[in-house]
Amino acid sequence: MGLAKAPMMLAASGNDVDFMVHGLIPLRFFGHQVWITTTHVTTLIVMVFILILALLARREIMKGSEKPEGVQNFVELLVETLDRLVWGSMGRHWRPFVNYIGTIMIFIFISNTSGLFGLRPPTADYGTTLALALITFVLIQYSAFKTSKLNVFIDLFKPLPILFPINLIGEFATPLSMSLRLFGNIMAGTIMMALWYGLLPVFAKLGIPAFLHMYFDLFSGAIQTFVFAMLTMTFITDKREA
Amino acid sequence: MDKNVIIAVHRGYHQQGGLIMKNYGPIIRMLSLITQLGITMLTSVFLCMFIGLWIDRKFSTHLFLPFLILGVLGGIRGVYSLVRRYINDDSREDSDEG
Repeated sequence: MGLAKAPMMLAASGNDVDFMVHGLIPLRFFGHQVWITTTHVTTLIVMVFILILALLARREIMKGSEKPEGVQNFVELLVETLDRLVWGSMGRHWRPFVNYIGTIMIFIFISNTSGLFGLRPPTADYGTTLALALITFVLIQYSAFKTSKLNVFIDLFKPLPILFPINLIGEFATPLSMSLRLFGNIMAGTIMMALWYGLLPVFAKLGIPAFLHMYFDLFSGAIQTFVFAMLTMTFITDKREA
Repeated sequence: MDKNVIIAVHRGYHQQGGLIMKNYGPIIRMLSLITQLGITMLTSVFLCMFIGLWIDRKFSTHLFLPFLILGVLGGIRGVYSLVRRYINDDSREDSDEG
């Protein structure tokens, strides 16, 4: 009953509630109609933002001093914390992966928190999270193949050959579960904020949304970033040590 | 090492730049594990269910139930392999302390 009423309630509120991905510019691509969507635009904004941050950090590091101060101090703290985090989770395998983990953490965190600036987070689109999880999946399989060669495939038949289908399902469920949890959490936050801003009277929009943004964008965004990186590290290490 | 620092480390704190700080790492790791367990089980069950349904529709078979069971078993395997690592970590920490 409640569920059946929900779309009607949304429809009744007119254009106030809006959390969907919108197609902005139509394009013809190999005979197919594709769209530049809000996700592409927000991803581009996030990328430009990261690029500016990176250039700023680079400039500060280039003229860095022995005694770090200000931005240099912050950047060094960030890099050292990241190094320690990856080393703590991956042990002796940490070195080749620290750059990748750092990259996805920065991208996912800034994407998740972009809701604070009025953007629709790119991670609230399943296309983005699935792509991220697929990159991780390929990395997991590639690094495992690099270290244990054909044993990666033989391991699918362990401990008993009859368990092969179960092991195979387990492998393919990994990117799906990683992408779905990130998407679900961020999408939930986006919907909640859209409902709050769209359906409630004006006085409810003063002050209270600050706490909601703090929880949905900052806290949830940071936790999901950490979890995604943590799971990536766990799966890579597990496969390499198997 | 200072005696107070040794006691703090045993109580789940760590020293950083002269400060004794609460070590939140294991707590957040456990939090991430708890939330991942449910979704690991779900995705594998739903994945297999949809494969079963698709095959049934495509080839007019009755493979939905076997695929559903396969999904449940795959989910259990996924959860087990996720938990195993954390149990190993814990037992290693215990043996380090003992």
